[in-house]
Amino acid sequence: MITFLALTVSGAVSGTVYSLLAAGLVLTYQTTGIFNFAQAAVAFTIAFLFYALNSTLGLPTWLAALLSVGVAAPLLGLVTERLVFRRLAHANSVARIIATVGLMIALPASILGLFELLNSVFGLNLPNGLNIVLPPGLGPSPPAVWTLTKGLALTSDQLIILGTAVLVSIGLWFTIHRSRVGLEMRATVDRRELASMRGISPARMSRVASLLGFFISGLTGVVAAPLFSLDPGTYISLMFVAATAAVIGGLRSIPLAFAGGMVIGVIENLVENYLPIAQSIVGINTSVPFILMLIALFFTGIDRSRAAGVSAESAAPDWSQIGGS
Amino acid sequence: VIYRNESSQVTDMSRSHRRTAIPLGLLAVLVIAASACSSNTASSTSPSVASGNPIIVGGIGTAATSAGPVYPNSNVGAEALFARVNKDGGIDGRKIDFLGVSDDGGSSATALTDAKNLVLSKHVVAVVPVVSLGFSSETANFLAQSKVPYFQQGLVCTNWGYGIGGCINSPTSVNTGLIAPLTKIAPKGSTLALACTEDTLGEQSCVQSQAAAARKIGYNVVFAQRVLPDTAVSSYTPIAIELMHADHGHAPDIIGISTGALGTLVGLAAELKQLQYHGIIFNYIGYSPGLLQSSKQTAEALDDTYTVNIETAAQEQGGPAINQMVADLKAIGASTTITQAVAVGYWAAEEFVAAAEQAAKTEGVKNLSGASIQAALSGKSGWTWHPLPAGAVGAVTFPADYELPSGCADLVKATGSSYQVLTNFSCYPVSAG
Repeated sequence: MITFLALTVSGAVSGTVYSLLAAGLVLTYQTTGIFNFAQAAVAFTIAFLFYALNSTLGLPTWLAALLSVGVAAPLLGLVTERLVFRRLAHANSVARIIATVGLMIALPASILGLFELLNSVFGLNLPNGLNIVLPPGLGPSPPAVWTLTKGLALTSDQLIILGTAVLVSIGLWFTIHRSRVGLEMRATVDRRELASMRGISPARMSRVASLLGFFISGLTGVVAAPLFSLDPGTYISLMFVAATAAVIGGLRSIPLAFAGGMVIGVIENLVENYLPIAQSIVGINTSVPFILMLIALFFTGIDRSRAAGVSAESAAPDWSQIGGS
Repeated sequence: VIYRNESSQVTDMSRSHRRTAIPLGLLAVLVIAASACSSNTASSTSPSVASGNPIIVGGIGTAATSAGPVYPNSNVGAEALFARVNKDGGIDGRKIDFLGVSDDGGSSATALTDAKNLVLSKHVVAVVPVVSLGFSSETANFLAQSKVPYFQQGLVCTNWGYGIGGCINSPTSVNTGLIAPLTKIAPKGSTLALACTEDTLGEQSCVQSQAAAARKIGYNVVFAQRVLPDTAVSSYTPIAIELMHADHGHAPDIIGISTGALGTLVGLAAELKQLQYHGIIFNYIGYSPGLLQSSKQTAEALDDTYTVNIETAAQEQGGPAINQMVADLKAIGASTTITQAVAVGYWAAEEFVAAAEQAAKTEGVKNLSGASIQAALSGKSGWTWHPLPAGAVGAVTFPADYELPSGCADLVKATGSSYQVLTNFSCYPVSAG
């Protein structure tokens, strides 16, 4: 029982990281139509910036977090939206995907290049490598450990991740369901043209969604960093698992994507220890998310859209013929 | 989901706007290994040097890749040793002209280009040192065709490669040195679980070779499986729990984390401690000067863990060899911290000097060339390198150690932010497996 609990708790923590990234994915996709693979690179870039500010330059944790997550991440979102996403608004889906994959590669390289430049010009000692193992996050380093019972413990880093998920969920729910901007976003998602006719600017919505999405990704990057090595490959691996969660949410439901992430994290952990056949298959637990993605795609890929259109946009029926019959 | 806008106009928008297709593209990340074809431009005769001219050597190393520093300052060790040898008169009166170490950035194509440059343009007698991730068998083959031996870390094993610890990348050998130092802290008969990487190397070097060595030593290997993923893992809990129940549901006395990835080592060690594993945790990569000072979290995770440190002795061991290295490094004004790259560079240079002296005995120093060195070392009687001063690397004998490791190692314990050497650098039996 303790083993089951330990696996479930640790899986839920991993799952929360997937959920947070998936929430950002769904949010951006719904408002811009772009499946932003660069979300992982944003998470890495902001985590790397936080590490440089906090561990290398010695800024207090709160200030480093404020500058990286509160300022740099939204700013990066705005710049990216203006320079990339808006220009892709009418591009085909292949172009959109390739562009975000390009960003995924370019962003980490850009911050490294920037740091090298700053080091050489100003003689700073910013990190120039990516092999930073278990960097400190928002909590104490090394993390505080609370042993609940033998074989079951929680660390401060894990609690911070779970707490972040709760806060982000509440914040997103409030923003989307209880604020004017949320209402406008929902309207844009459902009927871009109609929302536009009602005076809602799709460009503004795209900007807001990018800002929010990048903020969530940046925050996820910083709180998740203590669980991983700080390198882009790690974050990109997480991204593909998060994509599974987003697919489970049908790419439109943030709560479902959130739940999907948690479920993936827990199943991933349980499979290796409880599925007897899994122990004889090398790499089975890292494959679990992708098996789940295939299953989710099978169900969510079915076209359930309404074939006949809606009254608001459909051409008016030919009343003369209807009346004449 | 049906949304209403502020004017309460029912739109039933969402249902009509369901995406009809989910544009998820499967991304294939292709790593294209650009490998140039073997060049036929290599000279068919071995480069040699005119009498009285310096003996020219240069190295190939990977200072850093895009993932960060790998083997920085590998030139420093070689430079320190060659400076001393030159000060003492060189090799039978001929000085050594060390060209430094070309940085290949971890790229095999760059390493090959560097090798061609050293051989064809600089006319080196040997490539010293090779401390590189980019140095591949293709580069080694080019050097063999050009009749230029290389003195190396021991990762690319050919009959022209002289590893300071033999061929450490010999996954099929049974090297008891990988396990034997543990007998200092765990008696024979102890239960041992080995967590190996999921790749092919994990199967060969860990599941088969290290497990065989452990059995030979007398440990009861209760678990040796490929459970450490190549990709990042978000939770080490499942692996840690599997290891902690590896001895028929109980925790084994020793858990070995056999990985080359520091992140995996630190993550899994931290998880085992968090789950209150109180046995012995050992690994092969945890000894690295400066590592424990670099991060409190890393130091905490590795605290009280053990590293079987192969190839070169830990600096903390001290003794004549380490003292000589420190003196030589001081003499050229370099840092006296002996990292792996510095140590490999230093001892590869020492091995080359010994090899050149051996060749000079038969051919005369005037006729020293790559081919004459190779002929002197690979003859029927073979050649054994006894490092001077002894104690920091083991003796190696060729031709046997073209393919086998020397089997030397020490045992280092991480305590707080420092290391403690528990067993001095010693050599243990190795068999071909």
